[in-house]
Amino acid sequence: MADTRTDREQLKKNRYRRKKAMQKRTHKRIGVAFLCAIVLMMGLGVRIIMINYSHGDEYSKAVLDHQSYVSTTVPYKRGEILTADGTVLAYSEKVYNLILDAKLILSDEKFIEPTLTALEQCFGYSKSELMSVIHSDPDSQYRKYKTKLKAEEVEKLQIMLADTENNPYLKGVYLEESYIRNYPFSTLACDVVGFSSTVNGGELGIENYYDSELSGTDGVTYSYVDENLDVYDMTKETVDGNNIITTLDYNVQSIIEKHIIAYNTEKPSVNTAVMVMDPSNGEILGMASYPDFDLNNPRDLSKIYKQEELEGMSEEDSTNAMYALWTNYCVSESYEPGSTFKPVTVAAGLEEGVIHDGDTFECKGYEEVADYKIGCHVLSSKGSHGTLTVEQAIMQSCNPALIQIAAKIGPVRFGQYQRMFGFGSTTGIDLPGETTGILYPLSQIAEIDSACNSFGQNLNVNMVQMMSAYCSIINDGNYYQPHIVKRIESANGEVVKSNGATLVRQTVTANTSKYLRRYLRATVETGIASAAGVTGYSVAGKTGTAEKGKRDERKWIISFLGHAPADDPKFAIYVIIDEPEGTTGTSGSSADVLTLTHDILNDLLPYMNVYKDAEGEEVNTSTDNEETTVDGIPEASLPQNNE
Amino acid sequence: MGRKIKKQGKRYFDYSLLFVTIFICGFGLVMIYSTSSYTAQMNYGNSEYFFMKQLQSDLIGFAAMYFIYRFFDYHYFQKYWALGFFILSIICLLAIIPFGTVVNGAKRWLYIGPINFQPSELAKFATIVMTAVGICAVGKKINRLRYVILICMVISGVLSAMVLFITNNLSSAIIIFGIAFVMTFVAYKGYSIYIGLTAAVGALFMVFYSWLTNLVKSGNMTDSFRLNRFLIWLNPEKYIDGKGYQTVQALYAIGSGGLFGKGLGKSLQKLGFIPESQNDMIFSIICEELGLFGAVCVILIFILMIWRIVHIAQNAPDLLGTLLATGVFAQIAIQVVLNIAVVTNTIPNTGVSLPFISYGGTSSLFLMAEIGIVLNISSQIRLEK
Repeated sequence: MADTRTDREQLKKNRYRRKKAMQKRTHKRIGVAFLCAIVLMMGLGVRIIMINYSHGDEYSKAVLDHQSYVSTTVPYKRGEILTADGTVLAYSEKVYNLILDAKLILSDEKFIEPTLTALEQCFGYSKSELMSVIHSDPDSQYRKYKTKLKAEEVEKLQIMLADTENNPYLKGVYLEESYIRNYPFSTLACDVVGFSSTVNGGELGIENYYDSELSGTDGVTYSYVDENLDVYDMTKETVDGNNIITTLDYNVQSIIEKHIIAYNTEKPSVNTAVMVMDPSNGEILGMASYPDFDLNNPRDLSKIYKQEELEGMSEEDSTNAMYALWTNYCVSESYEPGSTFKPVTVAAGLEEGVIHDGDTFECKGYEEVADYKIGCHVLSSKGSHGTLTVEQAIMQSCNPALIQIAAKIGPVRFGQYQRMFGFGSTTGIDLPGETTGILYPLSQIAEIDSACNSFGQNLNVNMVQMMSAYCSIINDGNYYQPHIVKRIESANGEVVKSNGATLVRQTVTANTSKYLRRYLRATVETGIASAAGVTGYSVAGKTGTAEKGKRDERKWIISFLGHAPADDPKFAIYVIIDEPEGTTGTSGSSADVLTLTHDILNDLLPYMNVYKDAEGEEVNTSTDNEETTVDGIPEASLPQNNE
Repeated sequence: MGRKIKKQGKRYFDYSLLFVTIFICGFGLVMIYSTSSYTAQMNYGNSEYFFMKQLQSDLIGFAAMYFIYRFFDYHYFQKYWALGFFILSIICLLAIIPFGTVVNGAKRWLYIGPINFQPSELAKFATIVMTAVGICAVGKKINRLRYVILICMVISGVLSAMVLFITNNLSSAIIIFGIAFVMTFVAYKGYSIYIGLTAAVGALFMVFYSWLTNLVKSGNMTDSFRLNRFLIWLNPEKYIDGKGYQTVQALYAIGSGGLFGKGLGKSLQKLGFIPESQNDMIFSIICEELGLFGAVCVILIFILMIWRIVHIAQNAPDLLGTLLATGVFAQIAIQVVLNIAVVTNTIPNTGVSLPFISYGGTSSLFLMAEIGIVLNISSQIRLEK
């Protein structure tokens, strides 16, 4: 028993020992397996370190390389151009371009149907057409499918795009913001406002001159990588352009344009230009010239040329025709002003003290200067004016009297006066392309030149120069800087810059100014320009009939430069008709310009709140008392203008 | 058998293992959110899509882990539980043939009502428990080589062959075979056969490698070559537009991380360049975001985890406990090594997930259950007075 028991115990003990031994062995072998695992893992750790060590820079760059850092641009809004009374002449409208990402749409079968259905719902595009567009270039990621969509047109799609929950498969469709420039009045003040293109910015007029103010800064979101190869996102906010508030008055501008068009419809001229200015501060209230063009479509020449003519044009011809059309006559053209220059001569004489109010001059019907015999315009009809006072010399526009006054001043002194009145250099008006005009150099000016200058021939001026000089003469000699922009405001209405009245210089004394106002009033009331007057209003002014360039071509520029009310000028007006129909080849007649001025003033005076302050005498609007031009003016040998 | 855990004496509990498991799961959730939020937002409109799904599976996994630790004595496996799991996994694998669902071109998923799971994960679990029970059943006869081969053939051989041929999942088959290999190695007496086997595989591989490089050099091969996988492995950048894309992008991610990485959440490669980066390639994003430092830390955490499991295996009250813990250790170690080796292109690309970190509900559920078994074993260690 005991034996068996010991045996059994021994057996049990042995089995236990064997079991123990096996467990011990397994424990050891687990340790081996564990060590193997650690060695393998450590080996992989080393492998990772080696990848970083040997390829770190290369792989970092590869990662940065294949990331596409798209910088998104948010376009700025170009500033508006407004009249002084707040009428918008030019504004930018936000529009949307519909962009299709064909690659993304086609990347998954489930995107195609919902996306096309959405486009069909929102815009009514046909699905089959969209399908063919997408398949025509399946790899394109940026295709402008439609441009210039209005905000209300894209509203539905914007809502759908924002609602990703209900439209999870609407993919590959984007709306891109952009702006288009609108000119709501098309032709109104076209030369002054100008137009802009997306490529070149402002190309003409205020759009060009104030391009930097009207332009803003595009907003940009972009990423950049610093020296540690970290990527940062940057967002630059959009800055909208500034708004330009001009000195133009919407109604003044409309009135003058209406009459320019009415006149030219009846009798087309090469150019008809009208300027209205406030003498008390140099603000230009209206500025227009014929022919005009549509700012929304500035390259369309069909308005002034016939279809056959357009077809016959070379590219160069049509470019030249466009530039001619876009030229602002009031600023960029120079011409011989003719008799409207006479107040300048008289003012210079009075100022210099060589003549006095009430002095008399003798008109023989002509005046001999050097070897020339210069006629008076009455030579062919009445023969001569006889004895004239200074006032009558202006009233009758007598050339011999003016030649005598210029002779008294002396050529060089007269040349200096011309410059003092602002001729021969730009006025600095805030419009592009102003011409300087041409004067005889002081070192060369001869008696005959000075004689011709006295009645506005053989010197070239631009309209702004004439207007500003005239305004200073009638406004107690205060020469104000002519300007077209009143102030510049930022997009949120803060005033950035304000152009007030800038007194440039004193041209004449108040006394001289007073005399001139009287002479000019008499000229309209009883003198040569009476047809321009309006019953009940005191209008003052001077006509001009100038022979253009080559005297034997017998082409004329007729003009009227005046103001109202006569003694307390609220505005000055300058009307020019370049080569009026029917006068070429005959003698120039100022009849048309007086009629046109009369028509404009008829509308303008009540609007400008000018009171009726004249005697109730009916103004004689018949033009039999007209001024015609004269023969025998020597052709100018002016130095060439470099501009 | 099936005795209740005796209350006498001090009960051991491996808090380190519990802590490491919780830590790795938490870290995995953070990394899943980091890697998947962009693509989840793009594809599902919800950046937390993958994160929430993984959180659900992790919570279920924790429940399973606690349940097994607390109520499922590991000796139950000897009472037909192991056999039950083994047969169940065979049934599930067979069920794939008629009922399987194709995901990403491979038929690996089984949908049972609302639950979908990968039978191959169950097969790994079944291999561990069945091999352990099998070795215990043959007892000391395991020292004879033919029993080793028998056990390997019957259990892991059947399962890995089914996984390979039914689901076409080579990596899972390798893992199943690897688990059995490590478990029998631990139980077997001699070293020579294992060293010889490893050496033979290594030598074969060297021959294959040199043959392959010569082939690449000579350039006479067709694109339809079945060895494409190996060609990509040798020169992934050449195939960047095709199947080498994922490998190259993972290498870019690892290489661009630097010492301390770009910072958590700042990976660029996860923005659609590494497809499904929350799955098998998650380690490359860890390298990119946390750098070498982070990668080495993750490896150290795994070493800590398997060390705890090995420690429990070495102190297990009986052979069954030792073998079960060894199986769990083997699975985790093999998967970690294979995963990192694939991501670093040390071995040809094959889909192996990183335990506890990669996205995948079935995988984390079974891994947690296995940790539950190990914790159960640890709780039965009797401390000496």
